[in-house]
Amino acid sequence: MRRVILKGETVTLEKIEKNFAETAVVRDVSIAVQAGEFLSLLGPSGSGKTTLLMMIAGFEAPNRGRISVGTRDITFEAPNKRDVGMVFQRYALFPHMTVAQNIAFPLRMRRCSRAQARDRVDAMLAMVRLEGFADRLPQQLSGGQQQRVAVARALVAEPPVLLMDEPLSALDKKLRETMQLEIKRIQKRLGVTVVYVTHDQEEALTMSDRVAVMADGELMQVGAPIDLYHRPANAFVAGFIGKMNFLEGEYIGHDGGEAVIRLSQTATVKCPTSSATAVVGQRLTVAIRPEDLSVRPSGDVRPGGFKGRVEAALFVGAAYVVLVAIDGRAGEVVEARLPANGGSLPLVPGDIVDVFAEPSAVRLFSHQQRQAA
Amino acid sequence: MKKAKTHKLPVRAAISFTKSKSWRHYPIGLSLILIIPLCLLLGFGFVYPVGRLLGQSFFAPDFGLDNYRRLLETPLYLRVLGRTVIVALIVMAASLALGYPVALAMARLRRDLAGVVMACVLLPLWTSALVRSYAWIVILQRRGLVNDALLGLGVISEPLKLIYTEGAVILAMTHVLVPFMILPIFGAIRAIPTELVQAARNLGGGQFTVFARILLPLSLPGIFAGCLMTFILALGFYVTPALVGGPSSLLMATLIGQQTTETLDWGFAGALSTVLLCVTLVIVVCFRKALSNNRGISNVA
Ligand SMILES: Nc1ncnc2c1ncn2[C@@H]1O[C@H](COP(=O)(O)OP(=O)(O)O)[C@@H](O)[C@H]1O
Ligand SMILES: [Mg+2]
Repeated sequence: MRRVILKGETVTLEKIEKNFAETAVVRDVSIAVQAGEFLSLLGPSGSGKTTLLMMIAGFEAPNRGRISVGTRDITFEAPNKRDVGMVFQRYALFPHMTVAQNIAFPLRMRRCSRAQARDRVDAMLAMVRLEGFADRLPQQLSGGQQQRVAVARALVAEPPVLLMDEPLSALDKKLRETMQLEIKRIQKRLGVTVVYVTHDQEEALTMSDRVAVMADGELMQVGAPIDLYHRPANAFVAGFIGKMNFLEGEYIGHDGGEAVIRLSQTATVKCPTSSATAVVGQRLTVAIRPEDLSVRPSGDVRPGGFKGRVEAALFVGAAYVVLVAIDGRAGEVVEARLPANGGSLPLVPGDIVDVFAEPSAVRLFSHQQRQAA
Repeated sequence: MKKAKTHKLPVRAAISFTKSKSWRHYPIGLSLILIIPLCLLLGFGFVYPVGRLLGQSFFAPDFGLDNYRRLLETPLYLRVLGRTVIVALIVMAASLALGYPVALAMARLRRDLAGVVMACVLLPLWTSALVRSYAWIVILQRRGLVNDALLGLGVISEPLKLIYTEGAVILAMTHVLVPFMILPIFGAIRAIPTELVQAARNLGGGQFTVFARILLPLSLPGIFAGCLMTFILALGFYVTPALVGGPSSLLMATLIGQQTTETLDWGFAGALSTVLLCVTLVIVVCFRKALSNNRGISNVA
């Protein structure tokens, strides 16, 4: 049996634009995917991810821009000449062909000999752990098994690039997690470049080398998961990746190299001046992650902290989630996430507490930016 | 092995569950009352007269198989039967050849354009077969459109005999029946998910491969349905062959018509009908068998 070895290639998108009848669906998107990289396109439904993928696969042509794989310009290449594998959302297995015939299809298209094709199909079936299923028909397989066949079929002709459009969205949570690991394992082993579309941020963060966040046809930020989480470029990314408290505030000056933002008559937060390029009196959006907030029974308010009243304290397994109403801001609640550490939380609803955030963990975004997001 | 089985069972259970539920919404008694008028109509308007006609083949004028012996011993009648089957096969094949490309184009066109083509296909269905048959007479007769044109161009010196031939019958019948081929094929192609076509293209298939290896096999159920329908309709077609056909292109339906209206030999008409019905049934069974033997089709259908 022959080992399948692939070498990934770069995928370069340059200033891609796509309109459907006057409506801009993809706007000025440029991404350089490295060879062998796992890149996710992440964004809410309707943000243009599928359209972008369809342009790479050749089922849509961009109105402007250039797409290349390695050094080949494929912008207007026919889909069957692109040598770019694709796994469809609903698998798109041919219902009238057996698993083996499905996987052999791209080999037949490439005039591969029967014996050679059989060997390659066997190797792929072994790789996706479906030995013994060669003669089944697609509808005799479970969703997860169909998914594996789709992956095997997309990779058997050894394309340097694999596109996947929400391939796991039809599977239940448990199977989805298994398949995530499986896809990563195969990708690592083959070294194929993967462009993976998902609207599930957790999936994007766990699987990807880099994530490209899209919103409304525009590229918001491209970066490693940890960068997106800790250094979001704008309020949209900050809100879309992980949980985030957003609070409206007013810039009132510095205090020892730290900018001070007033949230209410009695509440302020501080953040590093570097992230604030504001004039006094400007309204800004403060963003703080729940795990960056500390909550303790009321004592002296530290500068950069504020008082609040506990609305709810919930045990969620690994942590406590505490909802705190900010003193002086009617109805507005921040969420704090405190490690459980095995002990019980000495907080009950109604308690007056001090809330504090390390200045380095506080981010500022301009007001307009938040509105746009 | 086991895994796939256990996976399938709950699905089936779910289906039968929803089925049983819908029964509870519509009580059986009500359903029965609602279908009684149709049953009566079928009983008195179809089953009784057909049964009586078939019965008369054994009783009129005398009890016995005389009518059948006469049919089987007269070469003319056997020739008419054979011709009917062959003409029906040709009409079916011609409808398929003409109809498939139309159905394919309709399924692949933009929705609004497909609607226009669909209207063109359906419009003839809404006009009477009588009108359409007379139209063919106008076109094909001795001094009709075709002959006039050919004479005018000097291609021929004598008018060709076009009307009242087997060719005219086949042409006119194909024209009348082709929508019955187009519609089921169109439905079958429309039902093929676009992703399958995209997947085939993505995996290296050219336009023709996609047609030959994906669209054609997956539209086979539509082809079978269309063939069956046009073939059966063609076997029993009366109006068109009676109008555009001549004595040399006599078909079963016309022959039966002659027996009942001209010679008033109800017993022999019954025998002819019985044989035609049997031939039709045998062919339907063969079609079904071919259908269920084809794995690809049973999977899709
Ligand atoms: N063929 C099309 N014609 C017109 N509009 C389309 C077409 N395909 C997608 N769109 C529109 O483009 C936008 C982006 O769609 P899509 O790329 O499918 O988003 P996503 O995959 O991120 O959910 C949507 O608003 C959608 O309605
Ligand atoms: Mg999509």
